[in-house]
Amino acid sequence: MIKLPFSRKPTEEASVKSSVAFAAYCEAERERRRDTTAGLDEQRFQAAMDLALERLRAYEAKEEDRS
Amino acid sequence: MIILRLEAERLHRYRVLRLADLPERGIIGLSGDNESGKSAIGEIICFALFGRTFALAGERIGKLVHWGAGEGAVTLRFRVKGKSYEVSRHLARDGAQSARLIQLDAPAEPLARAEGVNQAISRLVGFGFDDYVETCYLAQREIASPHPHSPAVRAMVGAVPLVTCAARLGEEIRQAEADLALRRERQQALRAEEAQLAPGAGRIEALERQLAEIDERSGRLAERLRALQAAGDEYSSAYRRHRSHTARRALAGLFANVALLAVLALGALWAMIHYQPDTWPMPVIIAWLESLIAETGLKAHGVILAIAFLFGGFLFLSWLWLGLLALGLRRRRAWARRLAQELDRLDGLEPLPARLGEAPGHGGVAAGDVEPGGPGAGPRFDGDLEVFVDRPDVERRARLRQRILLLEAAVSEVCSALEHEVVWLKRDMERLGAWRTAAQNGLARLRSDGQRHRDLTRELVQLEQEIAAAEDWIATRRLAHELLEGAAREMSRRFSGGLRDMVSRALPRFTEGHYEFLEVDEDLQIRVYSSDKRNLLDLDEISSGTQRQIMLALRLGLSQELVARRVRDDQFVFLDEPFAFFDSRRLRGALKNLSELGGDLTQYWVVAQRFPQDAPIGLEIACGQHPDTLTHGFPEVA
Repeated sequence: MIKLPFSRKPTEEASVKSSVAFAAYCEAERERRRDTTAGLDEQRFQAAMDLALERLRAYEAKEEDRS
Repeated sequence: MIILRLEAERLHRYRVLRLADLPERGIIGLSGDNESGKSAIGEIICFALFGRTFALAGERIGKLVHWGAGEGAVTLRFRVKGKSYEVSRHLARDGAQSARLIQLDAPAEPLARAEGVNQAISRLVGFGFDDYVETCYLAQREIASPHPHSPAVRAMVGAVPLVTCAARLGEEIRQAEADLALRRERQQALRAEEAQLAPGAGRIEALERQLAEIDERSGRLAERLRALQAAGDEYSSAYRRHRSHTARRALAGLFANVALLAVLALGALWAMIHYQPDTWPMPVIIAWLESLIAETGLKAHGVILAIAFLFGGFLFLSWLWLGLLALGLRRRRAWARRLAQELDRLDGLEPLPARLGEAPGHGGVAAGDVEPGGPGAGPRFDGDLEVFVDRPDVERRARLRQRILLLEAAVSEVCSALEHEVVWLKRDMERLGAWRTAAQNGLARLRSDGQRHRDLTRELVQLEQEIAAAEDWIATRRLAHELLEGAAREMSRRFSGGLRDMVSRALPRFTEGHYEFLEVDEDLQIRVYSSDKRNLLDLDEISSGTQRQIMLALRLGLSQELVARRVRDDQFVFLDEPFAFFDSRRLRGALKNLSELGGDLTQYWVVAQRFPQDAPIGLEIACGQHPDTLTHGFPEVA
């Protein structure tokens, strides 16, 4: 079967929320930073992540209300 | 979104435009010569969806009305996710327009009217005008690389919420940093003021001790002054009495001697009369006395005894006077001694040390504490223990003291000397008063400074806590901002990667195998790998025709991403002359590749002047056969 250049994406891949993608990125980033010489301020990282997530979810909720 | 039907009246070059029975998959070719109305169809579709075209917006949209007509109208029927909708717009030449969106299943209840139609369309089809022109609608213009920061692309990346939140956080951070800078400036100012006000160790206590010493010295001087003045007054009184003392004492002595002699004489006479009355000359004396007192009836020896007692009393009084005079003399000498002692005490007074005129830690009385020329501005000190040089000299005072003790110093002389001493004492007291004022002012200032210093310290502590809290607040937001931007970059990178893979698969088809794949970075900057040159090339290193093909592939890739992320349904694409300057062979290949792209893009509207005979086109609509009418799928309009 010939593979076409464009293909339909699975629904779940196309509909990943920004906050979900962000949370996944943060977890990966947390692990990466733990391995750096500078180390990781866990408390501050968690606070920053929570803050950004809160903002993102508020933004998404607002956008959902608008749509 | 698939276009099912398009009807327009008096719009653009068309008096009547009716297109129906349109294939939902494959290529709809719009062919015709220049100015035949091919691009007008794309603009009318755009107007029907969003109330504007690529070039005309606002009031200028009125220019879309057919020439000679006052108003035009369009109705576009389309299908989204299995449901059919119809959007209708009326447009006046002055740009005024009305609009209505209905679902064909319920035409009596419009989904939206007027300006609400645009929002309803955007919600329905999943994108707005900006997204549309960046992706599914290629107007007839130079194909340029899609701008990586355009709202459409950013929305496709999915990073808009991240970027928006990061931007808001960035603004909050900037505001907080500005506030923090103000707080730090305030902190520096307070620290400088605090350093100026920093009290020396024990300065207040030292000044209090100094003030107490000044008070003690001042009190001592005042006491001495009062005692000196009292002693002076007493001496004056004593001296004045002492001047008549000798005469009174001589007189009293004389009286006493006379009385004593008289008593002795009368005693001897009485004894002779009593015991030897017959011895000469006693009988003569007795006869003389009796003749004197014959008439009184008294006896001579009794009279003599009485007179003797009388003189004895006089003698006693004289002696008493002498005793009183001696007591008075002793008291006057005591007064003189007291004055001498007061003078000795003045000599015993310590000179005023200059250190009392110096505020502790300031090296002197603070400026302004003692008025120039005032009481404190008298004789100056030459050193710490320097004595004032304006007192009467010691020898003169010793001589005067000696004469005072002997009660020989005249009142005027003593008064003059005492006046000198009093002036000296008063000047010292005034000086001490000035120093006291200066010390009290210094003390008040020190206490005020101390209070201010305590206030500053308290404020600094509070400010430091605020700064620490603000720094912590900013650090957290900076990290949040960094994470959001990092996530946005990651999403851009992933999006670019997906786009690159997708476009790279399509690229060889559009370039007849000359270029195999693309490098698309997170800013959508493109480099393309040339099979011939075996190297990655920047876009400006390849021909403009190939650039257009790459950009077309990229645009189609973006369209696919847009549909996949937003609509997730079949989608039409309108490409206005994407293959201009292609020869028929290459055009045929391009159309074939277009129809074989796959994905969600299913209905392609492609504008070209001519299509090859065997091109894979589902429907070709020839434009320009009638000057202002185009009909397909409807009965011909006369």
